Amino acid sequence: MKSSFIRHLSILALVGLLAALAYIQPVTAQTPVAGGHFRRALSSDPANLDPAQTNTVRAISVKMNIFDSLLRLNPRTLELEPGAAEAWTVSSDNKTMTFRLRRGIRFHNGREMVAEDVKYTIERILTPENASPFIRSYDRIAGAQEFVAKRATSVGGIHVLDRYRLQITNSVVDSTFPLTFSDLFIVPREEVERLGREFGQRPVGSGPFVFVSWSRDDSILLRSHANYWEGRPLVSALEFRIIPDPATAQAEFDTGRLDFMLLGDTNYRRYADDPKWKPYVVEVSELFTRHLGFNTTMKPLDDVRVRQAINHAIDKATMVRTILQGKAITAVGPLPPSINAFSPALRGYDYNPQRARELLAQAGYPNGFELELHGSSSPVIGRWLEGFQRYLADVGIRGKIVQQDFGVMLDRAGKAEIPTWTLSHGGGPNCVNYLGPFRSRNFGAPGNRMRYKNDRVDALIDEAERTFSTQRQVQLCREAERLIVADAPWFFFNYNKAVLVHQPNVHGLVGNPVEMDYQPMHKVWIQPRR
Amino acid sequence: MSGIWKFIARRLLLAVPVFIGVTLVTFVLMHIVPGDPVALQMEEKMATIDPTAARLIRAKWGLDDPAPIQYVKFLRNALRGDLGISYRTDRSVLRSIVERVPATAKLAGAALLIAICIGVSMGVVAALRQNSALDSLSIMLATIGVSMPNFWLGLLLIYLLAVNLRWLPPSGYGPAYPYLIMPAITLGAGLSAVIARLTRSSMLEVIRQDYIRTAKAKGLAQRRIVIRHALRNAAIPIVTVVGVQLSGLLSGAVITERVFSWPGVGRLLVDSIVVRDLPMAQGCVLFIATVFILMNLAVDLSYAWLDPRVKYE
Repeated sequence: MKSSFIRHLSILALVGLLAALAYIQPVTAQTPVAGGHFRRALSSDPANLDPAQTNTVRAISVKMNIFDSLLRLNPRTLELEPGAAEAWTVSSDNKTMTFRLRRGIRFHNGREMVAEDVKYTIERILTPENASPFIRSYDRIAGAQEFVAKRATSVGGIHVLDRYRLQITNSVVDSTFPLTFSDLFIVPREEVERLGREFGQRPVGSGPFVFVSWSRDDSILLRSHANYWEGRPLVSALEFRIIPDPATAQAEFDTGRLDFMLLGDTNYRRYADDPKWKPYVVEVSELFTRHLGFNTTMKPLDDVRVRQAINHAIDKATMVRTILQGKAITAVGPLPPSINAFSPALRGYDYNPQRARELLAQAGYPNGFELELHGSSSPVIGRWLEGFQRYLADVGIRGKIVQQDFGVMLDRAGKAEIPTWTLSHGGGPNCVNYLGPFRSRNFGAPGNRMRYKNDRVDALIDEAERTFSTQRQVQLCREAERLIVADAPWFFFNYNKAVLVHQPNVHGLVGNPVEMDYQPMHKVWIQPRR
Repeated sequence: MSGIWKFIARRLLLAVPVFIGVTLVTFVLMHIVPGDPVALQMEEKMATIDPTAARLIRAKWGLDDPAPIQYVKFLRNALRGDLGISYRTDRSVLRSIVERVPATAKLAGAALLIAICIGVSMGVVAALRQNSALDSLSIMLATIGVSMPNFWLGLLLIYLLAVNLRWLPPSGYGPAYPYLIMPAITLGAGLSAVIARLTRSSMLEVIRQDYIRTAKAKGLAQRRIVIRHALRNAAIPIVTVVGVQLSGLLSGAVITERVFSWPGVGRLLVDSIVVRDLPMAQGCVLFIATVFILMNLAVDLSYAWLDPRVKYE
């Protein structure tokens, strides 16, 4: 009797265990697995991987895996979070930041990272002979100007307090200053000095991956860093393949030789609408605003009513749906939805050709006028310009499309030689930086190619820059944006939707609004295929 | 010094003004074309430029010097074998070009081999069977080969052989098998069509000559007549065209390199022009000029081997 009961109980337990296992199985399938060779694409060779040198998206996509930044930007919240520094404080006068480094961060040569390395990294960027494009990020640190002018041998505002603590004092109150440390990739002095110029070709950092090899215009190979402070990355090798042609990249992805790829307007629908791929499509509204810039000093664009009329004349919603295949969000102003200062209440300009005609008549152009529509030679831009031309014709503006080399267009726009230009503006996660092109101090090549000047906008952005309260800063940026939209120095076209598609066995990729290519690869893993 | 060595020495000496000419033209063109290299290097997407950084970068690259001084400095360094440092990569221009030569040479060699094998055999057969179905077929294939754009043929091959049949990898640089097959076919197809048409017309001219009739009358085998007597005499125009085409292939086949992600000199040159990387563009142009000069010299020298009547004095 007793043995029968035990037998029944055992069977029941076994059934229960099997049921539990069946339930658990999907969960274990999602448990990160170590190992594997991850392959991703870059559209062209990153050229140089020295953190003090290249600031292209491609180079940073690689560098962020080789180096540790002092702070990190959380791609989901766009808030700063610990990086090499595990903690930081801001002084009561909002000028001094004190960082505390993690203990035990190892460079790939085995040496521990210390506060002196951070000081060296910043001073290296500020060294005039290095001609770093990042110099602006740090040239307002106290004593930086003297250092750049070679009147000082070190930057007075950087104090190493002890082996792991460092204090940096800014000469002005600037709320965007902490953000700059999310781009500060820390380098080991001895390796920089040993390798010289070659450091950009054989970089040594402390990041989750160690540089292995670089076959120019072909591929860059990294391997996982066994002693990484966050633990060894899950994938054992990370390969960046240089694939300039998007159609080839698609073939590589379709044949399983790429683990993810970015989607463009032409292939977005193919994956996003396919039930097989849809679960593996990651989308995010990127921090980029596509626009047609107006030269506000050139007739007839010097009249705000003309600029407003153009904003009313173009049906951007239809253009986004058709020409851009829905891979964008129609713009209402310069600030995109992913930024905290985005104003849901802002209405922008609706498609209203009648209103456009009225505004043109009020401005003295009842019969319209001729307008050159400039853009780069890319076929994508060509399609946009054709759309603009078609809608502008409806209100009497005779658009003439001028496509040219991107550099030529940028140069001519900077010198105010052309009336319009098509650009994508990206200003990062802070609204003050994002609105930089509308400040009158940035006329020309620094960003304000429109030669737009509104004293109230300048004052609002200046105040936002000095404000450390996020809530107050958002208010100020929104007010500045409202005025900018009313002044219409741009035709606000759309915010790019960045999209990637990954293989079904890839896990951990995130939608990063700053740049989709900036993926925290040490958290990505590959489920082995059965 | 014998005639041939004098000829070579004279031709190499003539290369000096050619080098000066091409570098000067490149230099002037790169300066005339709008587009600031500093601005293009600094921000490709955000399109904002920091004036302080721009000033320092300008000083580092010597862009503050007047243009003639910049050119003279370039020439002086080039004479010492120093082609300078690339603005874009911050590394030696010479080294960057030398690194890409093997990829370019492999692709050019393979494409030329395919083009000669297909082109010459198709041209010979078409000439020997003039006005037959084979001749018409060769004309049709040659027309298709010449008309089909490289990028389109490349993408078709990728779609068929890589995506559908999974026989070959879509792109990449590696061992000749499997990586070189599709790029070489893509690049060789158009050239084979040119060679086929040229071989046909040249052969048609030669096989009507008296010495071919004599060879036939002597009872020589058809194969011997075609290869030894007809083809060798028909080869001079073919060699000239092949030489010029090979120079072009060695200068980089930008479109094929782009479609198949092949790391050749062509992509390097185009990438450097886009960002106005003057030292790299100058270096690539010098390399291309050298290739053209040497190939033309090789073609001229081959005439003597093909036709003993040719003498160098």
